Amino acid sequence: MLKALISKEFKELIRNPQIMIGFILSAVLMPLMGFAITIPMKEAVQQIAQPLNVGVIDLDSSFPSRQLFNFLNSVPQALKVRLLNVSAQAPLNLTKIAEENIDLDLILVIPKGYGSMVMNRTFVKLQYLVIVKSSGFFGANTARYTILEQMIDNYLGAIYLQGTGIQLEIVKDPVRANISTFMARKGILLEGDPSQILSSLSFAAFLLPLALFTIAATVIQMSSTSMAVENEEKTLETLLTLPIPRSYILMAKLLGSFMVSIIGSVASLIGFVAYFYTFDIALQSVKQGFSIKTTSLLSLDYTNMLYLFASIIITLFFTAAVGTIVGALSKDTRVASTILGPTVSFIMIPAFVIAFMDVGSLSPIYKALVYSFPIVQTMAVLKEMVLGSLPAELPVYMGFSVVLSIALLYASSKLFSLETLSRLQRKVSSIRFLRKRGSRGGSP
Amino acid sequence: MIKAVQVEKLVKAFGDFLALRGITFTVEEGEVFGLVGPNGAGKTTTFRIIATLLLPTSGHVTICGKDVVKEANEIRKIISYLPEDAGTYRFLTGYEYLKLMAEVYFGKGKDAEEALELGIKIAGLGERLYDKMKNYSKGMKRRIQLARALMIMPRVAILDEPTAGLDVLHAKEIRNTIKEFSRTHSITVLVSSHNMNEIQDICEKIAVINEGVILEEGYVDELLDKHSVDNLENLFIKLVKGDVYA
Repeated sequence: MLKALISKEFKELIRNPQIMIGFILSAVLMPLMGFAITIPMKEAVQQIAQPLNVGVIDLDSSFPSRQLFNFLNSVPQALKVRLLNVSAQAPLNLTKIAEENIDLDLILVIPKGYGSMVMNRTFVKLQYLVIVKSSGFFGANTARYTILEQMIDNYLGAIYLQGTGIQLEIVKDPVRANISTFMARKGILLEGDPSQILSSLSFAAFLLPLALFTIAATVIQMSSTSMAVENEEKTLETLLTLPIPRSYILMAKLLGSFMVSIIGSVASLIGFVAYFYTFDIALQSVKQGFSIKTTSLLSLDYTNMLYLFASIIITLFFTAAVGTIVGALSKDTRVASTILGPTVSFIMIPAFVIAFMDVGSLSPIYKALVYSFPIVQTMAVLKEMVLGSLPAELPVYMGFSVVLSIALLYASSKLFSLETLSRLQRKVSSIRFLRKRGSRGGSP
Repeated sequence: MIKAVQVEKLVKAFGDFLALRGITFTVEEGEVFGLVGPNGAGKTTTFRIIATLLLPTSGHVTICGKDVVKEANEIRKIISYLPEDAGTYRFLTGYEYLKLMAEVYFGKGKDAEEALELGIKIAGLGERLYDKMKNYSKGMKRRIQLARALMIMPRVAILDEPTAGLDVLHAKEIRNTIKEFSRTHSITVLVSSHNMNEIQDICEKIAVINEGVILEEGYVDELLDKHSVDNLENLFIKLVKGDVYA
């Protein structure tokens, strides 16, 4: 009997395009999103490869300032330089000059006294005016003035060191550092700067929870809608008069939603993995500035992946159970949607907090709570398997979260009669009604 | 002799509202019994209690000698209930739905196959039976629901407003199916309707209900004679207002 009911639930859900659309959208949209991100990224790379258009205003007109101009003109692969004729006597109106030379990326102002500063080998004051023509996400264009700044630094540094026998490179960077990072909670030694490693891992640890949120929200929406439709269409009345235990109806609804959610989640996860790879490929093509690798999570050990898989399954089961209960309490799909928002927030906010929290530093009691509650647990597992290490007691916590989900289902099946549901639905509807009236300013 | 349905002093309250105010009626086995009354009279509440969906506030209801409160699980094996405006599963075919119901009642075996065969016959949808039910008209959906309710050969079939919202032709089809089925298989049928003439067409015995009170109960012909009226509509008006022409 149960099998026949589960089969009915499964068919109803899997054949419903509205229910599957959430899963399919994440599967398709995520790689597309990754691809879309690569476009401005490649543009940024191409911009970096182009020579920088520089206009020079020489207010000093000294031998050193002319030498600097000649130097800048001698590197056409990096700079395209032209002299801007400005009267040294009149006040400098940079806005007007920029408007008249809008094709430039940058205007360099060599002030009066530049020559004597160079001759005295002292600090040199220069003014850079960066002309921003567009605001790209990667900001490559706006940061390009640093190329010019670095070239002038090196040029003047070399002049200052003339005759001393000291190499500029040694003065600028006398230490050749080999930085390693030890991840204390994971017990592993990694080559490289900790900030780069952490940003790399944090990126993965932040994006995967987003995937979890999307999947959990879709599952809860699916199961609540499915149950609310039974109320709305009065098919639940028929089910409740069948010679089967009440718990079977709820169990079939839950297991049907759970099975579909597993299929849907696999599709969503494939989409997210594709997104990471698309993004990684794009990041690899940008040689400068990035060393983030989002797929680092995917190369973690099998035991951790098994724990993650088990935790995701528990979360799907739990969210399907919560959705089924929300749906049962709703006399129609509109009421279900109304109460779904606060419910999702209630169970998602703790998980979201965990995404930003150092789980490893929690006290044993809080840690036990975090790892025992589905969704929050998955979030903590995701985070800790990337940034730290999973607690040895995790199987016990997982067992508890399974018991919690089953207890929730058991308690709900005890309420599962038309009498109780009708009473609860009336109460839920009246809360919604009062809130609506309240927002209109009417009296209750 | 055990009565098919026995309702005694049945009261149902929803908060302060009394939906049923101590109604009493009996239905013999094999009878087609009609509960007739306007919208909000208490017909659906009565049927929901008989179908074990709601609990009585007070009073007793037995189906074939079994108490609806104490032996609800046993009763569910011998009844079938067709709710008013019952929907269907959009993404199942009519065939899949009937098969599901046959399996729920009989498992997988000869009995389930026979029930399914009977359901297909009652539904009479031909090849459309294999379409998804979201493509069915209201009449087709009602036929599937009626087939579902009757194919399991219940001892008591409870049909709440079986023709509600249907056009004349579809309503007639449904009425003919109910009459034919009860005659052929001698099962007890409880039908409710606010359409008095429809009840007169199907039922041999009726109870007239208004505002949670049974106004009159008995065989249709006897009641019409007793009150000197020619149809149930006039009987109802006379019972409520005291005069057909009032």
